[in-house]
Amino acid sequence: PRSKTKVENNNTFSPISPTVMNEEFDFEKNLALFDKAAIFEELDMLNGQVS
Amino acid sequence: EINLMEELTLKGITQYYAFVQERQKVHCLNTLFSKLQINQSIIFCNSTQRVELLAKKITELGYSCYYIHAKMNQQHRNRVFHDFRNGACRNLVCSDLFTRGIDIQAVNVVINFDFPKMAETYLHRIGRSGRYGHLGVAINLITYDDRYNLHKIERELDTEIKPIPGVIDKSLYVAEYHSEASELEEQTQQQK
Repeated sequence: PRSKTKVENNNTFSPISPTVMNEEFDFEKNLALFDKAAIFEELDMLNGQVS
Repeated sequence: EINLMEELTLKGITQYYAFVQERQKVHCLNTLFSKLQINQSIIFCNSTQRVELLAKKITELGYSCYYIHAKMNQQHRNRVFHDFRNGACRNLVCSDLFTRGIDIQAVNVVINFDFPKMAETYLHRIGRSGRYGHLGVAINLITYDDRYNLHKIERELDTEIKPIPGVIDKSLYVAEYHSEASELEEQTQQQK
């Protein structure tokens, strides 16, 4: 839907403060928020159950 | 020359993901630009509108970039792509236009600003013609909503996209470092 696209684009492209922008993006801290192995295990299990 | 999808390979391309929220994507990209040794880069978005918005942002950040997308006329697209291929600009933002993979040797960094939904699209964006092989790094910005597609694409292509490390080894994607590393390896083997 168009409204969803607009919200998403606003989220992505709204101005970011120069203070934040001048700092390095913290890759490590953000990666820690995403447990890929656990998510994949769960998705594999769901797929297994479906088929 | 016809270059079928079967001929595209991910061999030689190191694939990483960075976990982000939508509103962090531009910040993340800015850091990548400052940290990576980019010879030439291609940055993919999932819509023509986002291509234009991102190209504007990148320019505001002080980096040069061209952009092309499906809603531009073919002649204009060809001209921009031709100039990019000739090295007139370091970065190209685009939507999915390449149906045969990117065949520009100078491109050593590909960034999926938006993660694709289909394995075929991922392969077209990142894959290279196996005949020539390639050295490069692909960085995927992944949001929580992308988890299903990340899983599906890894499984379908039988590949692994690893978490981005603190420091990316230049020998994985910068030609000069790669040849130095290869020479060193040869010397070591000769000494054995």
